[in-house]
Amino acid sequence: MGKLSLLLVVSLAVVFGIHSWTVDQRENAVVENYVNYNSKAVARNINNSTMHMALKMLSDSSTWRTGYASLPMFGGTSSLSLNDTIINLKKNIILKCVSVCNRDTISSRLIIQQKLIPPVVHAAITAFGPLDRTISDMYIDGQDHTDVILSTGPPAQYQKVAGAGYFGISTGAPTFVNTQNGYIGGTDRTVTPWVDIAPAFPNDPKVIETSSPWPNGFPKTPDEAMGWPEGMLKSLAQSGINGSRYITTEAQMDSLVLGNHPLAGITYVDVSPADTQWEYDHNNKIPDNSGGIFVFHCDTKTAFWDKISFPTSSGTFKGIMIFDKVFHIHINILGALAILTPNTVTDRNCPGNKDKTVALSTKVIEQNTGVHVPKIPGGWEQKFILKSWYEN
Amino acid sequence: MAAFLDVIGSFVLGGMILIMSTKLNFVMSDNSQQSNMELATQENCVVVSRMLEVDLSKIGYRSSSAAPIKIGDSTNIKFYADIDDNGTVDSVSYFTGPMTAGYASINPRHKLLYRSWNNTTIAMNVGLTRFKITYYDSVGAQAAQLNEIRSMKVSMDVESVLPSVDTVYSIVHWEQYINPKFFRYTFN
Repeated sequence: MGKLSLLLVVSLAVVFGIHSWTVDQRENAVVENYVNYNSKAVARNINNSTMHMALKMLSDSSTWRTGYASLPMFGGTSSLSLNDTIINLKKNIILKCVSVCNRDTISSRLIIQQKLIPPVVHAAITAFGPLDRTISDMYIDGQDHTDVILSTGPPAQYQKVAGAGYFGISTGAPTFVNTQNGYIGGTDRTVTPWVDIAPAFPNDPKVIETSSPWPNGFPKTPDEAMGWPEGMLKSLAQSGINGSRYITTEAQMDSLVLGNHPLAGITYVDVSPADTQWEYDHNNKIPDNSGGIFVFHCDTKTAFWDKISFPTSSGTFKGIMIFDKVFHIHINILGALAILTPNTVTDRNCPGNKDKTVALSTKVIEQNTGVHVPKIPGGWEQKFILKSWYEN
Repeated sequence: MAAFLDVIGSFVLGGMILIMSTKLNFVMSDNSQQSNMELATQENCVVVSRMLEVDLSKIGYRSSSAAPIKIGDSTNIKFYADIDDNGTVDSVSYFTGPMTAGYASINPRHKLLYRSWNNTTIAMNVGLTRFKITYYDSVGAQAAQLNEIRSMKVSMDVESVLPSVDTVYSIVHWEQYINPKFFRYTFN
């Protein structure tokens, strides 16, 4: 009887033990399941944090490519690499990040581009107002070019970059009529791959953008046109960086021309509201071999440069020019030209301009903006264009 | 007389032990089933929640539309995104529906969760009893229009297929704020 009792107790203990073990295993599995879910969430947080750290590093130092190797963070680790690559003929940076927490992994890939092409550049000549008269009979080429001058012409010839350009003309006006037989070319971006269209008259309608879309309105100031914080252009010009100049009078410009001091860096012509017309009453010239970022602006957005030229007719301005208003463009421009006013000249013609060219060059623009973009205050979103961010 | 009392006593004690062991068996069985159901319910919930997190966080990826969410009500969402990163924008939707033939469940509250990817729809019988999406705008208020959506809260309840002995179903509640990168950053 005693042995039977013992057997009963032992049997019950075994059954209960097995049951407890089974239930315990399931409880462990429940906890483990939750921990795995949490690990995935932590790995995602690590990944996002690492990406933001890298973007901040990159915005402070655009040449930083070191990345991170097994960086400990939030109980896990993260590794990040950076590589330069060319996508659609543009230099991009790819950031790849792999983050691990326990046994869970999250990887992501981010592609960014430095904000080197100002938002105002839609075409070789971009304007808010009508351009029917302003372009005259000159050559307007929205195809992309390098900074190499093949021939001073006329018309001047620049080395092309195939399939990477923009419109020839972009206007906020609903129509564009090529009234003075200008030769206009550009790149058709509505097809894949993009197709270049050589300057011609009559021009192909695909090289003209009318009623240009501006979600936040056409830029009202040069800084807005550049996509930079308000006051930055003037501040950099006044700092004298890279040969920058801050000019307020026609006499100052004339002395630069006479002394043959080319414009470089940022030239900010801060026109007085009391005398917004820079017309024939002075030389109306800019120094030979000028380039950089040229701004001609008045706070009232009414600064008007009527007839601009070089002392040497065949010269080329290499860079981006932003005017409140301009007419009689008797210079070659390799880069881009933007006109901010809605009140462009519509009541006059500008004949005899067939020996001048405005050619788009992203390389020249980037050479000039690239120096200043890292100085833009604020976070990485001010300095980079986010192309994609994919998380596995 | 003493022997008779021994027999009666042992009979009573033996009966008590038998009843206790039977009761123990019931308790163990119930306990075992409950833990089993809890595990299965939680695993189902985790699988679905991971899928939702991964898909919804990609809303708008490579989409050219400024408003990639095409349907956005409380139990139905349809959006565009290159989910599989192959360069082609996909159409993805999640919605719920009643249990249909072929999907059995004792739980009367169970419904099916559907995931549609480029018009290929898959029904998921994961024990879903509640599925709700709330959409928020840039200031955190409930979005009135699809193009105002900047983030969303997804919540769901998943219940077990079988109840415990006392007819109580195991339940897991999950909710998560999802802030798709498309709405958070500006892509060009």
